[in-house]
Amino acid sequence: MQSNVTLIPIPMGLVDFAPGQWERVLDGSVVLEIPEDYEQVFSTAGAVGEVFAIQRVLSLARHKTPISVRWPYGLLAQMLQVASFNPLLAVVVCLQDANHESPSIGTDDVEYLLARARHQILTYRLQGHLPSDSQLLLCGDARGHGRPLDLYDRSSSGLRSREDIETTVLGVLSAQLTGSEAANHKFALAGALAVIVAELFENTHLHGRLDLAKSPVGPNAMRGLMFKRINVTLPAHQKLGRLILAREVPGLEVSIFDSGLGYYASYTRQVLNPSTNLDEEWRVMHKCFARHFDSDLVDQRQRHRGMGLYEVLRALQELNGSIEIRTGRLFAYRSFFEGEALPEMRPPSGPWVRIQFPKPLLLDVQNRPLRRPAENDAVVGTAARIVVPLA
Amino acid sequence: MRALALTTRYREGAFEGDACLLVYDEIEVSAAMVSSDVRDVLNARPNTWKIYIAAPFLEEDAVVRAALEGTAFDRAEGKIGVLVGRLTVGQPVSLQFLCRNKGGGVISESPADDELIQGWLFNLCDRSRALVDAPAGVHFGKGSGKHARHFLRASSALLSSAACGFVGMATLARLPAEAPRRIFVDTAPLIAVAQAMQRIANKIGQWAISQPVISFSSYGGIDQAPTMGYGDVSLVSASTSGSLADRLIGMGIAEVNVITLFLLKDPLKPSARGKVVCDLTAAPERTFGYRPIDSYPPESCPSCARGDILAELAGDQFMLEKRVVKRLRVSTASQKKEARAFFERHARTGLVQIQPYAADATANLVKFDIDRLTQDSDVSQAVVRLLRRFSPSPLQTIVLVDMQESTARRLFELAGMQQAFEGAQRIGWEELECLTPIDRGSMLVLVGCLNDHGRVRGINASMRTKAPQGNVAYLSVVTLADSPRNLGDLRMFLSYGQHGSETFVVRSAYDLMLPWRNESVTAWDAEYELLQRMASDGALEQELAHRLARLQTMSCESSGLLMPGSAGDLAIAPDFVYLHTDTNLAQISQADVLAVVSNLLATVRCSDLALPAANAKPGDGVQWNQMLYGQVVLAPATLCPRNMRDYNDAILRAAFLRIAFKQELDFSVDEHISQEVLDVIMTELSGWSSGRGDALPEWLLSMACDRLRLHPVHVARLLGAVRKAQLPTWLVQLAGRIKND
Repeated sequence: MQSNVTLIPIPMGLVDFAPGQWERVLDGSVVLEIPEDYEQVFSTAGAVGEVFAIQRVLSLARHKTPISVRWPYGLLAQMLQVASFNPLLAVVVCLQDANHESPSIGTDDVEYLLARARHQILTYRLQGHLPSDSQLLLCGDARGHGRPLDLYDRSSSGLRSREDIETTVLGVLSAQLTGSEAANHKFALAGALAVIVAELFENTHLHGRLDLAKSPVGPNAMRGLMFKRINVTLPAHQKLGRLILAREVPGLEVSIFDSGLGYYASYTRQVLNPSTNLDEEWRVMHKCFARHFDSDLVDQRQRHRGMGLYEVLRALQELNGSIEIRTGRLFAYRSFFEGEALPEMRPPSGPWVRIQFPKPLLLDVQNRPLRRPAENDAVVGTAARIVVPLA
Repeated sequence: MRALALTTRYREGAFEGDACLLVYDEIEVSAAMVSSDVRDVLNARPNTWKIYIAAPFLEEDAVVRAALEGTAFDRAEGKIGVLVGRLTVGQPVSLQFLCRNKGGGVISESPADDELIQGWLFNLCDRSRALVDAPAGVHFGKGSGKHARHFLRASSALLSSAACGFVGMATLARLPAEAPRRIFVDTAPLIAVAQAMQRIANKIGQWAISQPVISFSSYGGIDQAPTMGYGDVSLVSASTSGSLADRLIGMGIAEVNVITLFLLKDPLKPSARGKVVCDLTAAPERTFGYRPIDSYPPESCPSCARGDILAELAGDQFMLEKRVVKRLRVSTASQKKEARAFFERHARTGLVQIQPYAADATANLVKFDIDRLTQDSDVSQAVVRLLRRFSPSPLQTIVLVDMQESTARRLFELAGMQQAFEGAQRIGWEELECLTPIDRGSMLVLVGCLNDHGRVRGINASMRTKAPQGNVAYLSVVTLADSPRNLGDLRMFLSYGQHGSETFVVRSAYDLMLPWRNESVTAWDAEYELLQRMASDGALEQELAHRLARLQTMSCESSGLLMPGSAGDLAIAPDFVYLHTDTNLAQISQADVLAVVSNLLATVRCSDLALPAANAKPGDGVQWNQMLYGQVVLAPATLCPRNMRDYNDAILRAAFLRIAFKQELDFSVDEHISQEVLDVIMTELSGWSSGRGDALPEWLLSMACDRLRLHPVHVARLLGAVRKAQLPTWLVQLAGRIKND
């Protein structure tokens, strides 16, 4: 193997890179090696942020890094039925200009299987009762399939209404609930979760399809919405003088990603460069969240917009959930898990205190629980991972 | 009689008699009231075997007292009972009969006989003539597309709250236990039934919430209905085939949650999915019922064959006249002299551009390069005049909107107002939040191209706090509006203040009518997505692959916007009537033509009205809009085919196809219009081989993108002609994507 070719076993090889390695990978070429026991690897890997691995793949593709994919035949053949249940693999299947290979079958057969799998992925409708823990709704913008019917209206091709998104989310959520919940509790959960999905997905629609010159993002442009059944570990904490031990509860992960501009370029209309000050990037991200929280921060930009990300925080607070956001060089999070330490997270005074609206602040994943940003490898677009405990 | 009295036949072995149901919706049901009604029933129908009392919205105890403990009980000689809904945890509501033992007075409870319930519902339908028979020489075109001589109109049976209460009670007994999230109904009258269900379910403790109730207007609106899914219930008023229930189940509603109130169908056909409250169909073992309704597809309808008049249904109303289709006809009257002058001056310069893609639907397709535009002597003089005449003095702050500071500086210098410019604080509108308020301040908001009215209104709202009691002028180089009314409204909003309508100055060097982009997908979005799909499915022909590459790089463009014809890029012809073609013809770009057509269509939509002068009050001009009843379009508008037929200029035809809204290209709403459009396309098709018909690729593209729609018969005819024509492979590949329903 040539020295500038990097072999990346997926999924785990996409999770972490040594300092400086990512730039070398981008400038070389990569081989994505899919193991035979891919599904088992994933299930034993715990709560891996699959969406961040997807973002890495999209970054490679958007950077035009030559990509080869090695498929085990069994898994490739299965992809016809299960592609949408393996989000990372579904994204890999939909890559343009990637070279796919599989031992024991020829290129034409590989391409035939991939074409069938792509069709399944790009026409997939979300389901409630799943044979798998995950499902992905992929907007294949670069393949002319950027408007899946679960998210876009058939007649106008515009984004579906909040009410429609709520129905879709409820369909997925209802299957994850035990059934003993009162109907109005289910509907309230779905309502809050729909706010998150609708706001974050609308962001991908507005900022993930066109570049700064208002041209289409181009080859390998993709956006996606992913649902995943997971177990969530809630931290130990004191409640009314009693110690509540850390515990694992069933939960739902909702992830949304795009391969567009990312927060910084979208807000400032300027390209994010290595020379851009990290604190400035961190500040811009917070500005996106702070609109409509701070009454001094008036924004006439798009009159019905700008409140979305703050609405996401409020809905998360209602759900006791958490969010992780990866954009540009930033990796931030915010958790409303019961028992989670929340320093400086609530407004100390003012009219917001009564209803305990959250402060629009994020913490850094590497420096947790501090607010000082750490520099991460630059990636394209934005990926958000929401975790909601369901018990 | 105070009650709604319903009767049916009760049969038990050889015995047969009447069973009567008295339904009350009163503030209070008294024993005397029931007793009086019982007397009337027995007088009118001596063969009454049993009388039941139902008061769906009242407390059960009061009804039991009135029916079983008053004189009514004696008057009926014990043949009286109460119909109630019972709650069992985790189970649907069950309907029960309560009866009192004549001797001992013990009240017993037994499940209500469902055949009796259905019999009473049949009686409700029958007495209100819910089964509508067509008069001689007429037959009905139903929403399902089939034709029949009879039609079930459930709303006829729902004329009182008592009737709705009883139907609601029976319907509730068909629903699963869990409270629904929303209740969909196929026609608006069923909203009353849904609300009756809510009242009953809340009363007996079945539901703790009151859901929204939404009508989707039956077949006419089902395609535009919201997404349906978990927790949703749908009520179908009446059905003769069960096909609407099938559609609803297909759309995501659980089968147990689709409830058809009245069903009248051939028992030999497959049974309807979902649940049925009342089967109106006669059967040997039943004591009531109608014969099934025969429905026919239009092509095998015997009434059509006889020449009977077809009365079509729209929503739940008959439509005896064909809808009038508004034809948007462009003529020289559509081009106002100011617009003509503007485009004559700035066409050929590259200042006019088209922005084919946008992240949202708020922007205009047409863009102007304001920096270069203001270098034109006419424009700069017009702006200079505005600055001299209307800039507040002394000028404290200049807020720049979509204009570079260097451009503003140059304009101020031309106006001889350098000192005012240098002395004023200059900020972009994005920084307005940071501006320190100045009491009675003098400020100027200088806008390059004022096309986002919402944003300027937002700036105006901020300026009222940044310059309280102040002197603020809003000047723009170009103001765009889609209608005279919207421009008038904007001026009124911006200028209105504490001193009335002229508190603030609002002026523009040029006003131009251009439509807002009110569609989520532009013609270029649709083209791009189509070619991407084709490329993803297989190899694109070379011409289409080049086109896809071109679309990929489009940003703000003057040329290469339209599909090329047989002789290359479409260009303006010497007989183009909306711009002078005697000078620099070759310099007129595709963007110039598209902008002119965009202006023409905006004017046509406003019935050829011009924009009002700066100091005029808002006009009465009404912009043409689609009128909707529920989700049914009542006043469709299409581009008039004469626009295409009279102007055989390929670029003009292509521009119409690109700029018109999708709805305006839906010629399938009218067979005659569709035929006219087909004739134009056929002419293009036959002319292609001889170098005419250069707009053919745009026609095929428009249809392949599903923007342009013809009547299905005409689509088939066109595709047949395409197959026979000697077209290049790339056009054949494009035509292969045209759908024919």
